[in-house]
Amino acid sequence: MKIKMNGITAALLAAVLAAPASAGKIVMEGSTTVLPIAQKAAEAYMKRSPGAEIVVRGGGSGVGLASLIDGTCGIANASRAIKSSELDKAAKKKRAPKAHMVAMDGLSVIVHPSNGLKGLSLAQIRDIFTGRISNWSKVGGPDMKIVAVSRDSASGTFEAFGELALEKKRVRPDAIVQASNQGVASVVARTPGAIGYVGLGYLSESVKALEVNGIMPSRQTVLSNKYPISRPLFMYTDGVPQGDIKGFIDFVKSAEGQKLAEEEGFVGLR
Amino acid sequence: MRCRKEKLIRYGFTAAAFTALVFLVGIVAVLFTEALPLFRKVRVADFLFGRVWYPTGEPADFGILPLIAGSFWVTLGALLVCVPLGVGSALYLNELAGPKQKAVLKPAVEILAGVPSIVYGFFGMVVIAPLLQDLLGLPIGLCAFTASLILGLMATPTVASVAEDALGFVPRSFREASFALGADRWRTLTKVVIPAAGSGISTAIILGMSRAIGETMTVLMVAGGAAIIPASAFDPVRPMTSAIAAEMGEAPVGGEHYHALFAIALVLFLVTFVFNIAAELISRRFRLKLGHAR
Amino acid sequence: MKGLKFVLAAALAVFSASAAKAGELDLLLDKMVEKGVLNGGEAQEIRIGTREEVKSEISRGANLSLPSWMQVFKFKGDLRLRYQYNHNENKKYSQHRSRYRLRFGADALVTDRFTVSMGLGSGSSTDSRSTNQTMTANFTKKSIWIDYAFADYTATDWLSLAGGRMKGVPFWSPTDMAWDNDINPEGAAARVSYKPDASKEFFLNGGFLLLNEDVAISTDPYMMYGQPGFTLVSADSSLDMKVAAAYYGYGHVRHGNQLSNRPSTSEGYQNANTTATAAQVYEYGYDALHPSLEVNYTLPSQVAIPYLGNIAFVGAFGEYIKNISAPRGRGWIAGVKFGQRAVTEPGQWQLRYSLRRLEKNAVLDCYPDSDFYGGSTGVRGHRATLSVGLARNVTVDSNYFHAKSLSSNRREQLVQADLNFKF
Repeated sequence: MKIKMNGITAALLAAVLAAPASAGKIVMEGSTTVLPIAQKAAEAYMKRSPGAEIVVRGGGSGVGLASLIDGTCGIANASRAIKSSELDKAAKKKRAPKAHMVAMDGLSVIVHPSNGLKGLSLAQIRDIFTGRISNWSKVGGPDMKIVAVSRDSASGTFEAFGELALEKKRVRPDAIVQASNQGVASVVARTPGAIGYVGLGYLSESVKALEVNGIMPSRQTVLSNKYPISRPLFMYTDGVPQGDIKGFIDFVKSAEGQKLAEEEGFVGLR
Repeated sequence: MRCRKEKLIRYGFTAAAFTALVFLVGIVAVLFTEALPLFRKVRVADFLFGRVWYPTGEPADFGILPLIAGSFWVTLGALLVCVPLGVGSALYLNELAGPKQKAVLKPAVEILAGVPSIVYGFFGMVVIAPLLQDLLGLPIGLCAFTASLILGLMATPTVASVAEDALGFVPRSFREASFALGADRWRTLTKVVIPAAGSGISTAIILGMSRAIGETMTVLMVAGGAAIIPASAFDPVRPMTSAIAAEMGEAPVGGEHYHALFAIALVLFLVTFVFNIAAELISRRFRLKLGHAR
Repeated sequence: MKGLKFVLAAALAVFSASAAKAGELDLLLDKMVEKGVLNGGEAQEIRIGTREEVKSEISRGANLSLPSWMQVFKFKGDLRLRYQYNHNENKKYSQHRSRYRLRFGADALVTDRFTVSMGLGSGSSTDSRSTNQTMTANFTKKSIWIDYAFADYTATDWLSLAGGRMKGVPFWSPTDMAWDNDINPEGAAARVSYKPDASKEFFLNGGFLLLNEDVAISTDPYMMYGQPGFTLVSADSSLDMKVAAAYYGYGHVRHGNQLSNRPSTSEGYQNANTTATAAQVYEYGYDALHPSLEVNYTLPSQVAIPYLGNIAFVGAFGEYIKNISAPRGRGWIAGVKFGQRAVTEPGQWQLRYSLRRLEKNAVLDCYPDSDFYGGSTGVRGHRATLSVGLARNVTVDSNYFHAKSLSSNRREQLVQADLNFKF
């Protein structure tokens, strides 16, 4: 009898203690593009509210949204809007994914400062990066070989550029591959015939940003949806967020959170 | 008491030695088990000889011929640099250097061997590549040529030290006999010493080749990263090592891409394994030839 | 500012209903940014947020209108109106009849793996082989019978089990020579289906059917069956072939009492199964081997026949049955079909022709197709069927049977014209 009582008491205690410990835990899963914002914001949030515990995982927008629908994560990071097929699946499982836009992702096409071009059309950019145009003379520049600089295939920036500018076509096989936005910028800054793409936050004096379809990339043009190579970044929650999740989302959308997003090279909303 | 302590120590050392074997077996086992699932979906011939490497495409292409070609070109170029430099340094240090020069140059070569590869890569990317770009008027300095140059520099100390050991093993009697027969220094060097140390020098070259083909950080930063079969030495390439290093981080575990990267690692492992066995066999032959048993 | 934003949000909610108004929303937001009412970030939030809200609304509207019982039940059924002309040489008068058949059923999803299916049907009598109801007796009300009621359990994705009164015989047969289409047997059945890839399937059906439960005796007749088979489909799905071989093992049938639903001699048909003259029990057992084959081929390009339309599909089928424990126990059927693979759209048609011969002891005469000489054994003859689609789920079928008794050489000609509605 005594042992049994002890066992029951222990179980009850464990349940009581475990509850608050897990109450503050938020699991975030999804896009690797949104991952840096999520991680930075999670660190900053956990410093402000010590009780909170936030776990951030990657896996891709599709994986994150599927987890949200299944109920295995609290926030789904997505670098695209939810598809209607996913909304239907959510309705069947009695979930209501709600979108919270946390930043805009804009990609700027950059060239060496000595390059005389002012801008290119999206079609020309697509042709250059997919290998159909290999010489600057074909787009109004000097007779020089085009050196395309791209990102490694695991990168969210690579995926974004492929979707928004290249219509999911393959990047030319002879493009130089760099592992980061900074790497692309430094190669383009040193190579007169180079053309590359970086997140808006990585524009600097050492490279020249081109207009795309006549629109110059900037905060204003990205936020007014005029610049073609841009997309919104989301955090999805199940219904209107409550408690810790609400606190976190509010933090990400606050001035401090948006500053973190800008530090990662995205366009903040404030 | 003493017996037990000795036994314990003995077992301790035996275990330490065997861990190397365990690790080796473990690595080989993991390579095989993670690489083979790829071949359920992709034919071995398509993998080894396919000309397009685009693992994130839909549908994905897993042809590693460009990667093999990249490794091959870069290694060949590295050999063209490290063989003359390495064997030349060895010859100089062994035959021609006086004690003062030896005192400076030998440590210098050894320190060069100790420089971390990432420093070489950084140096190559930030200094050598732009320099070559301006000097030779290349569209971009990140290409197979630059990578070969840096790799050659990296492999030189390896080649130099092994070649120097080989030359050192040639008995004095050979040299003295040659001089006694009236040959001059140059003749002795080219017709007696080098052939005698031939196997050792081949081992040095093979080890240098092994080092070059397995080098990751340098080629990742300097070779350009384009998965194409290079048409000229100034085209960017993507050797097998840099493909694995660049893509491993985000290939979803258990997916086709993941297995494909392990398959490349397996190919790389088998190539260096073959090189190392060849080097070992040649060096054994050379030692027996010169009268040193086993 | 926040209050103003709420007002704006409310105003925009009015706009948000129509996706076509999205262009106007953009203009409005641009104007507001220009005038400094909103900054770029807020405008973008509202723009994108509105778009997402619209999408959620549409999806919610589409999905939450289903009450939960609709997510569990699936209803289906069909109505057949038939006109039939019958000339049997055993009877003096030819017979014209109008009949109808109503079948209505529901499948209920009990859990992920369990389904219960039930069906009600019309019928003139308890005859197991017919759900036809003749239009007769001065508009008197007609009965509804329980047609089938069974539970199905999907154990794994290759094994499923069923038990109860099952809809249709739980094994495959391309024609109704040995088993009438309307028979809903009672018992338990298992189906194993293994698909190594999309082009092949290996299946095994097996089960136990209870033929009768007689309180007076302990030896109730039953049937056990096993049917291994396979299906092959060509790479472009144009050619498929299904082959199976069934074995029927009966118990307590030999020397057992006669079973119900034998053909009606008063209607001009015959009871050809050999029975022991004195005790009216079956003389032989009916254990049988029954291989069958069906081949379907969609033609690569349609063949046009003047005045008849296009032939896009041809098929052939055949069965052979042999009672291994009785003499005169063989039967076979062979036939072709052409036209369309399935008649679903208006204007599509399919013509089927078959030739059969069923000796007297090949099967128990309570099972063969009841339209062919009343379902008797010891017959042979032809059958032709033409199906034409009138509209989606509406088809016109016409059947012509020409049957001849093997023993008496008396003939029967049967013509049926049906109008089928599926829902």
